[in-house]
Amino acid sequence: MMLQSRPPDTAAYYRIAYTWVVVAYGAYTVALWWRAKRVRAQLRVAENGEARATRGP
Amino acid sequence: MSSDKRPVFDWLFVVAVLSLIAAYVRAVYFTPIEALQGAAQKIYYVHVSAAISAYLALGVVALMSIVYLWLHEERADRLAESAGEVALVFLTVVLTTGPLWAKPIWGTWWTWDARLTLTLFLWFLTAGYLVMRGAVDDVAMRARYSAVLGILAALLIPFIHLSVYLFNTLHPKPILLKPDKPSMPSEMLITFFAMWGASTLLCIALIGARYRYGVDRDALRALQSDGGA
Repeated sequence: MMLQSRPPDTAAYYRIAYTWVVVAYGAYTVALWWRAKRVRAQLRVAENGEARATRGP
Repeated sequence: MSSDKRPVFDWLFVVAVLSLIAAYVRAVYFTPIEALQGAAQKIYYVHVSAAISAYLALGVVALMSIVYLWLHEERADRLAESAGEVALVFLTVVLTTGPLWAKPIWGTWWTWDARLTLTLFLWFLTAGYLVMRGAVDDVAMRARYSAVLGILAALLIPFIHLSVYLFNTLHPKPILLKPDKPSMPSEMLITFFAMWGASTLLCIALIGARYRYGVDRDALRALQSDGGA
């Protein structure tokens, strides 16, 4: 009788890896988006301040 | 200078995310499970594609560092910095998905094998590159020092790739990036190419987004230093 071997059950590791990859890319994207948003807001404020200073009272 | 510019995440990022979703769906639902390793073999698709993307990003770091040292072009330094940060993300994915594959297959999370140790060393060099950038205030000095470190870090890549041939290692030899035909069935090969393509697109899109953030940050710093002067 031939024994049919089944693949080992390693699915848990693969699920953790695939979830982790999404979390890692997602976390970096969110962090970058947040930093960009904050800098753009500060830049807008600084530009408005400079424009007002150049125009004078 | 106006802050009303392109969005930080542009159309390329959207294409990259859609490609990544498509590659994930293919890998999870439409790719056969390998007979000897089981489902853990599927980690290969995300692990290797992240490694190639990290090499690509570090290649950009090296190339832009050379351009900076040659032309003293500020944009080259900013692009090198952006690619360095994205390279660290991909290297982190490589160094964490590797042990998740190694545990069920080798029976251990980590071994001080040449490929693994050199990759960890590359991670530290890349992290050091970014930390150093934050520690040096003088713009020209920071760009020059980091350009040298960026080039040296990228020089490790060929050694990492060849380490499996040069040393007696546990790490598998390349399945794809080798002189002869890829040793993988076509269904798995297509999944790998899909993941590789998606990962490359994501890498380029993230470098672009990080570069645009760098432009805004530098514009802000220039305005603040003008105001402070």
